Formats: sequence, structure tokens, C-alpha cells
Amino acid sequence: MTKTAAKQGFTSKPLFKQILLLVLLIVLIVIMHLITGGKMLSMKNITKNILPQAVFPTVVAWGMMFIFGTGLVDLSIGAQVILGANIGAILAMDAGLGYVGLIIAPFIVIVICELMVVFCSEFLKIPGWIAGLGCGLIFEAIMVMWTQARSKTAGSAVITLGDDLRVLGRWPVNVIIMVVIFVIVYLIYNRTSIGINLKAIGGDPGVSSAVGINRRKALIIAAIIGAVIVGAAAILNISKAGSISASSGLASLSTIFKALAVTLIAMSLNSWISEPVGALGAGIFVSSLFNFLTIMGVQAGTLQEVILGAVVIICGVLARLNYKGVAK
Amino acid sequence: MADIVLKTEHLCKFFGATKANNDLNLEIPRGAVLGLAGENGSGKSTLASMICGIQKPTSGKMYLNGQEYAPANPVDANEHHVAMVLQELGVVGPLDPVTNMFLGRTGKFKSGPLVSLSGMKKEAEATFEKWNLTKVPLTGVAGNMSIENRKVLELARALSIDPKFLILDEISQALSHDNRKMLYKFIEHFTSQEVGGTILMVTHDLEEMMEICTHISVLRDGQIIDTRPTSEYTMDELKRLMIGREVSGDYYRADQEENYQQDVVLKVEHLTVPGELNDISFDLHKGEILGVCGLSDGGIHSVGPALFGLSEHRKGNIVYVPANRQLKGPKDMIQTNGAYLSKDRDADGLMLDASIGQNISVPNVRLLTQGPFKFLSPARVNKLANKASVDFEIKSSGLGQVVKSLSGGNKQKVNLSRWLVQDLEYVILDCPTRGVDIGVKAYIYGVMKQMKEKGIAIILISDELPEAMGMSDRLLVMKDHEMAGMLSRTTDFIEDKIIEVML
Amino acid sequence: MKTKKNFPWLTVIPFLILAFMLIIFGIIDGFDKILSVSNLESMFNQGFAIIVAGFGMVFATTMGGTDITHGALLGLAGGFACVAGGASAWLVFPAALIIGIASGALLGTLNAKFRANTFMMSLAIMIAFKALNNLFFAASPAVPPASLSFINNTVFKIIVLIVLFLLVLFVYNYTPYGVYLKGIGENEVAMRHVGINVAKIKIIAFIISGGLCAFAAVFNAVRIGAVDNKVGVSFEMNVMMAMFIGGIPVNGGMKSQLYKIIIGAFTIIILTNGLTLAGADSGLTQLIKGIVLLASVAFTLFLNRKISSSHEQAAVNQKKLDDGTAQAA
Repeated sequence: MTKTAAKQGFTSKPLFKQILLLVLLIVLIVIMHLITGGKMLSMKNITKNILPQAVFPTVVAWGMMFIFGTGLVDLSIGAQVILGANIGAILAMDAGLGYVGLIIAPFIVIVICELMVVFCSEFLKIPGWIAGLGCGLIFEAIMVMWTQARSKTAGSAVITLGDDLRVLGRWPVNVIIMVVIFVIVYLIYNRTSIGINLKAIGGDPGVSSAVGINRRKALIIAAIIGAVIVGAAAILNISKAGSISASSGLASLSTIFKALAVTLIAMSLNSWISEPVGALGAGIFVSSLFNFLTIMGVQAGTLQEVILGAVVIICGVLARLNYKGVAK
Repeated sequence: MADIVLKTEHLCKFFGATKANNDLNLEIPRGAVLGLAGENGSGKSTLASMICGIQKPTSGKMYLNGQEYAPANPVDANEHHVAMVLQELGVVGPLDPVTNMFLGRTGKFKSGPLVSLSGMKKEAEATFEKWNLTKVPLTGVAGNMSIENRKVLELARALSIDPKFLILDEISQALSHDNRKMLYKFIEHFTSQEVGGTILMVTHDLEEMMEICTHISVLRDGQIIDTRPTSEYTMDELKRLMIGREVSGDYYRADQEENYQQDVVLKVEHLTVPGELNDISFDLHKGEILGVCGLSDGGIHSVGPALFGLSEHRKGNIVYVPANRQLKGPKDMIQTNGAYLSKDRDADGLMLDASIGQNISVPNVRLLTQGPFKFLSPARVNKLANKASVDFEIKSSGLGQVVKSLSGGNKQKVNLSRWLVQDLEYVILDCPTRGVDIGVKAYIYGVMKQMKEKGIAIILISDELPEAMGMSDRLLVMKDHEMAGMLSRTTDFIEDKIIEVML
Repeated sequence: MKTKKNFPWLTVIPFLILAFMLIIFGIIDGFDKILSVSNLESMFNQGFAIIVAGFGMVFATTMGGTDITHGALLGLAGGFACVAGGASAWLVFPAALIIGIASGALLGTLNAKFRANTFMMSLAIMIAFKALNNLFFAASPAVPPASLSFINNTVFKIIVLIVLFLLVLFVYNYTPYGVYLKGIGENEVAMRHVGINVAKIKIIAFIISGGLCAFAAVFNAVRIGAVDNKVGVSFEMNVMMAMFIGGIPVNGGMKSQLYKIIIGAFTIIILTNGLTLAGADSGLTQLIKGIVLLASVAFTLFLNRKISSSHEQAAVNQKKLDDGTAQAA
């Protein structure tokens, strides 16, 4: 006969496992805190470092959730962020449009870029990863070309946001915005038709098309939603950093690598917690971990990335534990 | 004049050169429970998928309630009140049961911009209530539900669109006794006068079919053999119509006696693969053709991978007797001059986008190398490929022709020739004449007869009983993943007797 | 039974593209400039590393995988080679090869034994290696021993390239290994059914990929004079573009041929060189390269689809013919 179901937590995942994960996260953070001799969890460190540094990777990870949802592994997102954020800055500073320019432009630019990648992948039938790499080269190049032109006329190659335009990048505004985005993402992912359809396509493409879900339409809508989220991340990023320099040779991949790790961690946990929540937890964890490493003297740009690479490798292996098919 | 709810006229579905459904003419009266009987590959699932809009017919017409009916997709079929529970479909694992029920239609439950989960749940519970279905737990994710509960959920999903024509594909084999009772009660209610529904049912359980269905249609090789009210069938007749075939021409063996050498080539002891094979043991002799037959899901197609070494968690002993060598994996079989040809030549055997020459060369290159650096001379490879192509009469425009552009028969010749051109001692052939025209079939049987004379041992796995009967010295009959019997050509090869053992 | 002979577009197009590039840039920059000895030598030197590393990457791609670690390897293997060279010049090549082989073995094992996706995994390894390059070589670039400067000689490099090409060609086209590698790219399941040890073949392919890249890294280090953390930026993209523009199928398989990377490498070099000579900024060059990459992949896939559906039609036609003769008989 039918068993009584285990007590349900959020979005019908087992409550017991969710509490377990939360406890695990807290325990790991406390351990790191203790190893640093109590330095890590100071109010100042949390509000100045851990939380703000969690914002960009987590928001980008939410964007990736939608874009990668149908299998399109688009790594041009990094280049899109650089391009979108800088165009926003250009409109804000050079064109004098202030916040209006800063906020509207990145959304438009990144949505257009993402649709370009989707076009290459869906209509030109270029494999998703190549489409992402190729478009990434193009987006980077556009930024570099503009930078090279600007350095000849305006003297400085990189555009910097004036201090008065950087409110969005400071505590507590940036974290508040992240929380607002979280709520929106959670609702879209779990409580709208597009979110449900996206999860269905990712879970079982055959059943999804049999019940009438139009894969292409869902993919395009999801890509646009994801691009908008990435746009928000771009605005938050340049507000915090003040300026983002152009990259070339796909160095922009490094900008989104943390977000990629967060996404992969959330994906491997998705039978325990809903992905938006998983990404939030993973983002805070990764940020804490790197803050811990920094306090312990491990420099950013070196061993931190090695550990990040190891995390991605482990997640990549874990994700395929039960996979029986051909892997290339 | 009976009230016909669904009619098909010269309905055909071809996949490239394969005729999955060939000229089907069917009339289903309202209120009937029509059972589709037939072996795997007989065309039942293709017919069901065309009616519910998953496939489009190659030619022919369908009529629903007298109007032309050509659903563009399953949702279109749903709008015509045609619903289905299909075997290969199922549910989306990561989503919860209620969402699964209304997947694709979630827009109907919007309150504001968001989908109302509680609204969907109410509607779900109402559906279960209305049709008296077993109340499966609606929490958790669908992937964690038992297979049984999943099937009931799929039934609820189909019923939630308020259908008048319902297709049930292999639904009862997943259900326990209690749930089956619920299902039968439901079927009765659904097809009663007040509700006026009609059901198309596909099931392997012939007893169930005889009990529940009002009419039965038998399919074989893509064609409808007969459609009658159930009362006009006997069980025996039903089985014979399903399995027996016209044996025309004498392209099988002419002799009626089992006839092979004493020497044992392979000794198989207690071969077991969890979920697929249970304690299979036999000896294979030089010059013997050992047939393996049974219903398609009785386990016959698991024998090949198990012997070859591709199955997981395989237990038991397989010994190549002349060298007393245990066959633990594919390498062992290859190195003892054995070969295994899987039944799915396109997926497991051939490289479709490569040329005939390239396909033939792959299993042979290890035998053609020269010197300590394993030099492979293209000239030698070509010579061998040519020899194989000529020996096996492969019809092509040259060795460079891409295999995808060959007909099924020629593809199979490429598949076979690349192995049989070697000096093999034993071969496992799984459905070697599947999807192959009569001329090539006869040719392949001729090749098998020649191999037998040379002393090569053959295991012939086949889901065509006449073929197994026509060619084997002994016949290993499998049922429910176990050995049901080992029959001898000399004494036991009477069709009815074999069918009895099989079923 | 004849099938229509198809014009071998797929084979000819890379050559056409190469010729096209030569002509276009000959016109823009002047043929005398492009074909001058000094320019040819410069192009060859740039192309050398791409071709050598490309020979390796072809193995990974032929089996259907991706190896994006080459840029980072150029730095890490090259750097360690130089450091080892401080102890003895004889250690230079072995040190580089060890790094390359270890990297390839890791990547191959992750895919062969753990079924992980090669693109994701090689991306992770690339990021980790780039970080190591930052750690070791950013502040103090590694310098190769002076005794090795002789390898920077153009004639020497040409000889090395020819010898390497013959060796790799032997393995790729004249051994069973090459057949199996291409077979895995075509249909991995079918290869398992032939009793081939697919895991072993895959791991060896990635080892060759990493190893040859490491070999090129040494020559690169000597050419540049020092290895810092900027070595190898966009190198893996260049190698990848060389492969796909040269006509190597995205999913590998039987149509992969070694000469194609040479054609593709020259095409990329002429493109880059021609643009630079014409005065294009690095940004514009990268833009054009990105477009060329997308266009060539889209076009070859399009051609492949057309050819594939014509094959399927031919099968249906052949069956109709067979049925006809059977009926007539």
C-alpha cells in the first residue's frame, strides 16, 4: 500500500536532507572561521568581503541555470558581461545618461549577445560549446576594438564609473539586490510555466515534447531570462569594481569560472535542494572558502584557482556517477 | 451498423526502407476495448504512436468519429479527446507528480503571473476522485515513485484531458494485483454506455487480453493478420497467429536431424545477469547451430552481451574448451576466434557515416599488421576488404561507398562479412536476418549452412520462430529470463510444442 | 549498381579557403610583402607550435573529445622545462614531456573511467594550470638554457616538423591504433562490440595531445626567450581554429586527416599575418577570426548534413531497386 511520504520541505524535496545541507554549510564555515583564529566571521569581513564577493558569481550562476538549462553550455557569458557593463558605463559617463544609461544598456546588450549565441547554436546548428567560444571571441574583440580606439582619443583605454554612480555596488545595496533577484529567480524557476517547462526539458526531453512543450520556444525564452539576470550581474559588477578592462584570447573565461563552479555544485545537489537555493548556498560557500584562503595567505589568481579547478573536476565526476551512456 | 469511433484506411508508416506499418485497415467500434496482439517489431507501438500523434503516417488516412483525423502532435490529439499512456514515455523524474500531470498545460492554472500549485493539486485530486483511481502520494519527486505509482499517475495525466479514446500501452505489467483490479474496474466504467469511451490496449499478457478485451487485432511484420471479437478466438489460435509465419520456399535446412560434432567449443555454466538472465547453462559443439528463441522480452537478447562480456554484474562461467580459457571479457572472445554480432547493427555494429571498406577493416586490422611496430599496410587492408565484398556479394558502387546509403540487406552483408572473412571458430548471431529482404535472407542461411559444414559453431538468437526452427540443431527456449527447455531437431521441432514451451 | 559520384567538396574547400586567404591578403598587403623570405620565415615560426600542438589535439578531437588545455600547457610545460634546464640542458625536454603526459593522462582518465565531459574537464585543468603559471612565472619568468638556442633555427625546425609529421602520420594512418581512434569517433559502442579497449585508446590519445603540446612548448620557450604567465594566451583557440577550418569534423571520426591541420594552421597564420601587415589592431584580428571560426564550422556541418541525407535517400532508392528486381525475378 502507499507509504506515508517523508515530511516535505521546500518544493517537495525531502526536508530532512535540506536541513542536513544547511547544517553542513554552517559547520564548514564555522570550521574555517576557527582556523583563521576568529578573523573570518567578523561583521566587517562579512559585509565588506564575503557577501559582496558572493554577489557576482551567484547571480551569474542563476543566469547560467536558465541558459544552460537546455544543454547550451555558453561560455561567452564572461565576454558578454565585460561588453555589457562597459557599454552601460559609456552611456553613463561619456553620454552623460547617468544611472539610466548604466542600468538599461547592459540588459539590452547582453540579451542581444545571448540571442546571437542561440542563433548560432539552434539555427546554424553549430555545437553549443563552439558557438559560445566563437561568439565569446567576437564579443571580446568588439570590446578590445573600442578600447583601442578610445585610448587614441580619450587617453585612457578603460572607462571608469564615477563614484557617484556606484551605489549599486556597495553594501548593503548590492546584497539587497541579490536577495531581490533571488526571490524573482526562485519564483520564475519554480512557479511559472517557463521554469517548469525548462526543468522538464532538462529532465526528460522525450516526455516534454510529447506533452507539447515547444523546446525551441522554451530555449529562447529561457536564454532571454538568463541574459537579463546576467545583465543584472554585469551592472552589479561594474558598480562594485568601478571599471572592467577588456580581455582577449578568451581570458574572459576566468571571470565566470567561479560562477561555473557554483552552477555545477548546485546542479549536483539538485535532487536535495532546488537549484536557485543551491546556487545561493554554493555561492556563499565558495565566497567564504576563498575569503578563508585569502586570510590564510593563499593568493587570488594562483592557488585559489587551482582549488577552483579541482572543485569543478570533482563536480564533473560526481555529475556523471550514474551515467551509463557514451561520454565524449 | 456499428458506431465506429476510429477507422484507419491503408495506413502505412515507413522508416527509410523499413515498413513498420504496412497497409493497415482497422475499424474500432465505440465502447470497445480493442487489444493489439503481436510480437516486438510487429508494428503495434508504431500504430499506437500514429493514433496519438507522436508519429505521422507515411501514407493512408485515419478517421475519428467520421471526420478525417491527422493529429500534428500529441497535444493536437489531446484536443481531439485522444489520450495515451505509452510504455516508453513516462514521467519527468526531477519534477513532482502534480506538475507531471499537468506538464505542458500549466498555463491554465495561473493566478496572476504565477502558476498556482495548490490549484493544480486540487484538480489532480479531483481527477483521481472522479475515476476512482488508487490515490498515489502526490508529494516528493516523480523519479522516486514506484513504477506502479508512476503508471497510475500517467493514467491520471491522460484522464485529466477528458478523453473519449484512450490508448493503454503495456500498462498492466507494472501493476500489482490490487491496482490491476482497479484498472479493470476503470476500463469497464470508461467503456460503459454512460461514459461512452473506447480503449485501445497493447499488452503482452494474452490471458488478460482474452479476459478484458472485447475485440482483438493481431499484428505481424507490420500487417494486420486479423481482427475479430474476442469470443471468436481460442488461445491457441491467437498464439499461432501471433508467432507462426508462412514458411515459403526451402531456404532453411533440408535435413531434419540434429547433426554436429562431439567436441565442445564453449561451455556455459550458470550464466546469470541480475534482471536479465537467470542460471543459463549449455554446451556448444563444433559444427552445431544452437538456436535461442523465446518472446522478445524473455531474455534472449541478453544472451549475446552476457557471453561477450558487456553485461554488468555477470556471474557464472564461460569456458572456451579447446584452450581451457575462461571468457571474462570481449578481448577473450576475440582472441579465441569468436565473434558476437548484436541485433542492432546500426547502433552496435556499423559506422554509418564511414565507407564499406572502413567498416570491414575495423575487426580485421589486428590480424593484418606486420612487424614489431604494427605496421598496417593500406594495400593489405584493401585486399581483405575487396575479398570480403566479393565473397559476400555486397552490392555497391565500390569500397568507398558510405554504409548509410546501403539497403538493409547490403548493410547486413557488410556487418557479417567483416567478421566471417576471418577464420572464426564460433559466432553468436542475434537476429541476423532482421530488416533484410528475402533474397539476402536466403543468402545468409546459405552462408550459415556453409559455416556449419566447415565445423564453425553458431549460436543463432532469433525472435522469428520459423527461422530458429528451420536452421537449428538444438533449440534453447527461454521464458522469463530462464531456460524453459532445450529441444532437439530430430524429435521436438513441432511448432505448437515450441510455442507452448515459449509461452 | 551505380550511385551518382559526388564532387568531394569537403576535401577541396579547405584548400580553396587557403588559396582565397593568400590571394586576398596578397592583394591587400602586396604579394611581395607576403611572400618575402623574412615574412615566410616569420609565419613558419609562428605556425610551428600550432602545427605540432595541433598534431596532438587532432588525436583528442578524432575520438570525439575536446582538449582546451594547450594554451596553459604551453606555459606550464615550457616554464618547467626552463627551470629544469637550469640544472641540466638534457632535462629540458623530459621535464616538459612529463607535465604534458601527466596532464593528458588525467584528462583521459576523467573521461575514459569516470565518463566526465572532456570540454568541462579540460577547461578546469586549463584554469588550474593558468593559475599555476601565475604562481610560478608571473614575477620571475623562466628562461631556457642558452645551450638550447640552436633549436630555434628555421632549417632545424623544418626537419623536426617533417620527422614528427612522418612519425605521427605512421601512428595515425598506418597502425590499428589509428583505425580504432577514428572508429571511436564514429561509433564508440560499435568499437566496444569489436572487443577494443576503448578506455586505453582514449587515454593514450590525450597523452599524445598533452605530450606533443609540451614538445612544442619547449620550442616556443626558446623562440620567445622566456616563459612568463602570458605565454599561450589564445593559443588553444588558434589550434582549434586550425583544426576546424582545415576540415577536421567537429566530432572526429574517419574523415579526420592529419594534413588538414597543416592546411588549417597555414590558413590561420596567413589570416593573422595578413591582417597585422595591413595594420589591423589585435581587436579586429580577433573579431575576424571569431567570425571565420563560426562560419567554417557552420558551413562544413551544413555540407555534412546535405551529404548525409543524400546517402539516406540513396538507401531508399537502392531498396526500391532491390524490391523491383525481386518482383521481376
